[in-house]
Amino acid sequence: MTAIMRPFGDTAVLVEFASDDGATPNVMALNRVLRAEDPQGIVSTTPSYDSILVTFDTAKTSYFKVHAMLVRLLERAHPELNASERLWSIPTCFDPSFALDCEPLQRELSMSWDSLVETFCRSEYRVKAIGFLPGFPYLGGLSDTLRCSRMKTPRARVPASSVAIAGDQAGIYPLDSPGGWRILGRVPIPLFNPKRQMPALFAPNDRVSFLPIALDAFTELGRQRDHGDLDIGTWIS
Amino acid sequence: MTSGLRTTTQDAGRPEYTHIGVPIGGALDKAAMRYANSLVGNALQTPVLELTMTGPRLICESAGKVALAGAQFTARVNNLLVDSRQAIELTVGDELSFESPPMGYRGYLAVEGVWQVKTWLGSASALRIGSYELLASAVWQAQDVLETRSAGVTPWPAIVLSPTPSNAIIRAYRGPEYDRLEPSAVAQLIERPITVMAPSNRIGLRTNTALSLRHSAHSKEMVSSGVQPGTVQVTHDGQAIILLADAQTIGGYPRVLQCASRSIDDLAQLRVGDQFSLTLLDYPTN
Repeated sequence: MTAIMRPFGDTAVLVEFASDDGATPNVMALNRVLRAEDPQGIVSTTPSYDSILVTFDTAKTSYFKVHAMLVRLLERAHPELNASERLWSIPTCFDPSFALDCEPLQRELSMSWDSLVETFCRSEYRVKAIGFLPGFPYLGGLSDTLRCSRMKTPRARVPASSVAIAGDQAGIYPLDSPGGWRILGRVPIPLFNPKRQMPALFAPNDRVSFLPIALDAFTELGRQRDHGDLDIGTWIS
Repeated sequence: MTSGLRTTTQDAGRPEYTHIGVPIGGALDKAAMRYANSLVGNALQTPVLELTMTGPRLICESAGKVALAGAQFTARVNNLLVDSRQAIELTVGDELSFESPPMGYRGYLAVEGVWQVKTWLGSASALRIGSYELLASAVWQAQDVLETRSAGVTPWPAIVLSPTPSNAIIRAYRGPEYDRLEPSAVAQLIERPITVMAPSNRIGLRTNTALSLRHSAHSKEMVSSGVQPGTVQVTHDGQAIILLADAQTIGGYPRVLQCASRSIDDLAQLRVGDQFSLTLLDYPTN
């Protein structure tokens, strides 16, 4: 794999891959060998769409050592060796009581709610990055027919677990937070749970599809979640 | 007894979890945290209390040493002034109080011993996201009690040089999108007084800047990529924002500068209304 590397301040290297839809598997491949190797002096790795930010401790290593180490790891990083990708089928409720932008989205996209939901659920998405909020997945793969604007004035509070779209991306709000994306539904489990051993539900490069469910099925899943007998393992294939 | 404006537990933060979007967090002025811990003989990454502008009032329930670093809070024990630039020996019943510092913004109070506090993802640091406290017990309220236990074997005392007084000249390297700055923006940003604007907080410092950016070489907007504490981003309306420890982990605004690691501690001490200037550093060449 080839990538451009350059310093980003005195304690970080920015690794950038050619920006196209195929960059994320390369990013994940390098991130995987980097975390497996756990080289001396590396403090953090932050993968995103087409880049990885690697920070280091200057008491233990140096820019030039980290640069040389990354050149070596790039030779060993192959996207085809990425761990078998997880495919999530996430039950999602598109009831208008959750779809805060039900009306404006139908107007902007000139589509009925049913065909909008059907179009949204027909696509498979890929986690391009986790960020903005802890556990917030940036999902690529939104249908061109669903491209929409952000809100001019963001909402002060988007409820946790809201499914949202903006521009050519989709996402799921892990926590209650301000946000300007268009809200079209809700998932029945928190995407970020500080008490879980791995607090974020998704990992970069995961594949995600949305399975529409009715409000009563959503309520039932919420009940199972609250009693601790919801098995989300069945959502992964 | 009372908590002060915002008093939190902070340590070295959670740098291992940026890949799932968790901010690094931790003490904003890490040099002050290490120095305060060295004065009481603690391991340097032991948690500290981060005091913001007004300190708490504390009652000592068992004898021990404390030390203060960072902003120059005036410290009193039982209302008598004490030299807060060295370890303060407290005995049972002593009341420790602080007066707001004449300059600087955040103070760091080390307490001798191993702290018995909750951690989340390996860190005792408070972290607020929106209105959500991810480790609520790390935000100090009136009547909260800090327990410490003896470190057992006394560690070899670390020798830490006293941090240089905080400096309003912030050194910075060119960031990945430095070339997006128009010449007029460079002239406004570098070697010129800049004022810290509200709202500023542990996520970032806003500034009174209005910078012109070149359009990116690609017509598309920049895709989100990693940011760090000390990254200077320019928002769509041209304002430079300097990210601090609780900032999000990736961002979509041009990253025009990256503050040098030794200047990041100085950023922690800037208040709304304070002035500073940015000086450009060159990357070393091999």
